[in-house]
Amino acid sequence: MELLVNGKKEVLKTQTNAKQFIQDKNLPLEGLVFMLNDEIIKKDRLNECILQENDKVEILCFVSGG
Amino acid sequence: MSDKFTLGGVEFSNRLFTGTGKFPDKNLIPKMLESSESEMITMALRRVDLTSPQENILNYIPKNVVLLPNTSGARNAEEAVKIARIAREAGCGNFIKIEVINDTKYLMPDNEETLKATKILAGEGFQVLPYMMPDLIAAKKMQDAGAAAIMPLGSPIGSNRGIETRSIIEMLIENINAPIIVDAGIGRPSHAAEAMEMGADAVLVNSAIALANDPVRMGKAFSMAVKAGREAYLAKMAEESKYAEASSPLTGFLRD
Repeated sequence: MELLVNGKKEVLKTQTNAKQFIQDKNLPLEGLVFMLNDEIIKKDRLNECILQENDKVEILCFVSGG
Repeated sequence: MSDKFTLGGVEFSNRLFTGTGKFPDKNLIPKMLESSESEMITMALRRVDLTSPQENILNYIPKNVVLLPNTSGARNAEEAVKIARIAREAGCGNFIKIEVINDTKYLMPDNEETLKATKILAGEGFQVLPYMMPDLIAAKKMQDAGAAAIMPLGSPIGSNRGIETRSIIEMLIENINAPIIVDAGIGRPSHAAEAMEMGADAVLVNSAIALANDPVRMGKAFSMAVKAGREAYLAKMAEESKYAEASSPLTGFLRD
């Protein structure tokens, strides 16, 4: 299935949940903000959140800035 | 004698706010916070670079320092509001620095869009600190829209040119009830002292500290300057005059 991840098209071969998706990308869970279709998914709900075709995913974090 | 600054329901004993931007080594940030005793620091929200993930800047900020996320990247009010809501949802607290910038040459803030975002976010319970081009009318509107403080720039971001907007900031200090925090362009501790002597409630300094040869030491220098400027303001400085006024009594005995 095709998703939009941080503005870029990505193809997922198998169905997965948000937590697994993040881990598959070798990203630490801590410090990340995960948004699905413009809604923030809290950390304790990531494993319940199943990604679907055409979902818009934004993975954000806090960085240095003035 | 206590001279605390209450902003958004939080009591600050240090009137120097700082930023996390531009440090050559992020490990300097907690050391700078310790040397400067700054109690509030800014950060930004960005997409994770999935090819090369950035480190979480919050790892470098001690728990007792108040987080001030900014809406950098926003080109209009709608984007600023979106970033603010995400930052709060992500656990950053209620403070938000509104930064709406379309101009890449001077990084001038868009006062009109900043005002729109201020109205919306203040209405949602944020403690809004709008970063703005000093303008008395715009500042009044932002105050009336519910801003917790007004943050006029001294000179362009990162320019280190000091309080070029002095006369307008003086207008704001005299006529705006909301606290005035001078943000951007402060390049030297003496600039920070100048802002505080004028009666500003606080200053926000990022580039001048981060890009100093010794950011930890510079943080301390700025903290001392802010305290000096504030003490001078409270002590009420003596007036300037056109002509000399002798400090020692005129002597008559040498001529008798």
